Amino acid sequence: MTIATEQIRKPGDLPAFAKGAGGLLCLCALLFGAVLLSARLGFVEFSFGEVLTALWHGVTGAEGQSTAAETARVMVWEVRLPRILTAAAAGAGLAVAGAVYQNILLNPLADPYTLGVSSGAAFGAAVALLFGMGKAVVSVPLFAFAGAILTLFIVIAMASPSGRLLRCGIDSSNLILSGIMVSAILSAGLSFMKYLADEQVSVIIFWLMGSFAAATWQDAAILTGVNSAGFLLFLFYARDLNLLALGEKSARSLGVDTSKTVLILLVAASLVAAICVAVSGIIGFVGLLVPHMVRFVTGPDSRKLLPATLITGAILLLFADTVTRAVLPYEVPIGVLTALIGGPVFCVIFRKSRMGGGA
Amino acid sequence: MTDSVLHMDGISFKRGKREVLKSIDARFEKGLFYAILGPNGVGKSTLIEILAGHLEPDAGTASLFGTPVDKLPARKVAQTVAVVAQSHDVRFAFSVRDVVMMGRHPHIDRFGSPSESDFRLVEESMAVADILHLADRPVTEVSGGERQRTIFARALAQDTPVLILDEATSNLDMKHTLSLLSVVKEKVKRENRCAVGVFQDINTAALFCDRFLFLKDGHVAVSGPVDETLTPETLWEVFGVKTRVMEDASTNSRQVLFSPGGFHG
Repeated sequence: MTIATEQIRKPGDLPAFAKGAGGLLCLCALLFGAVLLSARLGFVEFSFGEVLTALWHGVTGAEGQSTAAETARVMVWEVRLPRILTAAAAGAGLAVAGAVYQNILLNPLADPYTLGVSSGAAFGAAVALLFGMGKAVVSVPLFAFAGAILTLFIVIAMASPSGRLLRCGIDSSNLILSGIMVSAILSAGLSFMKYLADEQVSVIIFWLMGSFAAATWQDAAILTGVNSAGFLLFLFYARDLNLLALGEKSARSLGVDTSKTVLILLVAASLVAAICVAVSGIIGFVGLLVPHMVRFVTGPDSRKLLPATLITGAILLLFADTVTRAVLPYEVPIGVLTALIGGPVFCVIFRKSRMGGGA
Repeated sequence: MTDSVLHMDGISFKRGKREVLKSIDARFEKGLFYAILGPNGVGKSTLIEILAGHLEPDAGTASLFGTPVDKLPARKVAQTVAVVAQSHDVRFAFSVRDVVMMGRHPHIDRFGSPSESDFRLVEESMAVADILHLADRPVTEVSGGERQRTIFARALAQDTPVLILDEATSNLDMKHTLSLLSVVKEKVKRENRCAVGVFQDINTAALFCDRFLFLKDGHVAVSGPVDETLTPETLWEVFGVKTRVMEDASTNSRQVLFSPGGFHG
């Protein structure tokens, strides 16, 4: 049985990473455009020229030539840009973490929010805030991470039929139900902490609703660093992620060291999600919706899905944050906005996947 | 001795408190097609999963070319053993071709790309499994039998010295069952490979397999060449059914005839 090779190799079938590079470049250009546009908009509006000059001054560290230019530099470089970059990085991180969860848990509905990981991270972070450890830079992210991991394992253990920690094809509805139950308990815990917090309550409440208003260069740097590291790790395991999407046994018989790989990926995805939550509060549904939308275009291959998800997540959350910061008359907390938009879409996806077909 | 590919030495396995397998000894050699048969719940699939390195036995060792399976890295095992399991619930819309290409995963470096020969093997395997016309369809949208053939093609593309079939043909129609098992048998004979299959249908197994291994109550009840083991006495002992066993001259194989009331109450 010989088949002519000309038939076999379709144009551009070879390098999986190169495939769709054009689309990815477009997305990057779009992200860059979104950053510029977002830097323009706000209480004071600038022209693109002013923004570019301000960025140049910011990069070179030079002061503006005139008062207007100096105002622009401070507004764009010191106020808006940290927030813009933080929002973009958080969107990217949440979206990629969601994509990884979905593949590993064989569940198109999984995301840091529906799995309760966000609530876990929030709970951990609130504990750190409440006990006044918020001053140390690392303690909030650290507690958020611990809370996230702990929640993740509790939710998976509750949902898996045999009580094994790692999955063996956990049922969608079981997983989401456990996520909701654990989230409910955690939010009760959070309410109790708010009650205890007294003067600090506003810090916790504001932070919980999710906001980039207080984002600093440091936040942007931490988020970008952790998320980039996580993203590279996910890319490294992209092919294993594809195999894992067909089930643990399949993946294992195709040469994936499943228990090790799944553990590494789950912990890394939770770390990325937890850092996003620690910096920005709970922002739901980004991790659910973005991989879903992207999958329609790229298909389920993680090697194409992950990069596109990363950039799309960044663009969308930056867009949402710009809308609440510069377009709406009052600043709506970003977490509220994404839940308002994402919730109904989640319902549609859930209904569709119940009717069969899946993602 | 040198032909022994898979070796099971005193394998025991417990599921909860129930001892599913009790000290099983078995060897599987090159150039032979083995059938594992037995009543439901007797541990056939468990045995297969231990052979494939998916489960660790509570006692005993399963070795692959002389090395204990659990000492081998997953990738190495996957280069040697391909598994066709039953029932695949796929929730992500990979194309049929993508799924078959995953069979080449253990042979391709992490950041490598599929080579010419990888592509050829994938297309050939799809042709054998009669799924070429589905190649670009999402695997979530094809029928159960077509999906099963996709998984079969993936295992063929994996191109391993050992092929394990866990009721791999139980939801396939007669034509595809016959054609796929013929291909397996041909590979076993011509390329000196080893195939081990769990079967429900004794007659299908008798058409293609060289050796039978009957399991009962976690033990190997009877094992050996088909001519010696496929007898009414064995079938009565293992399954509790009354049968007649015929020699079919045209295929030169044994076939079993059942009767409606012929079961042990």
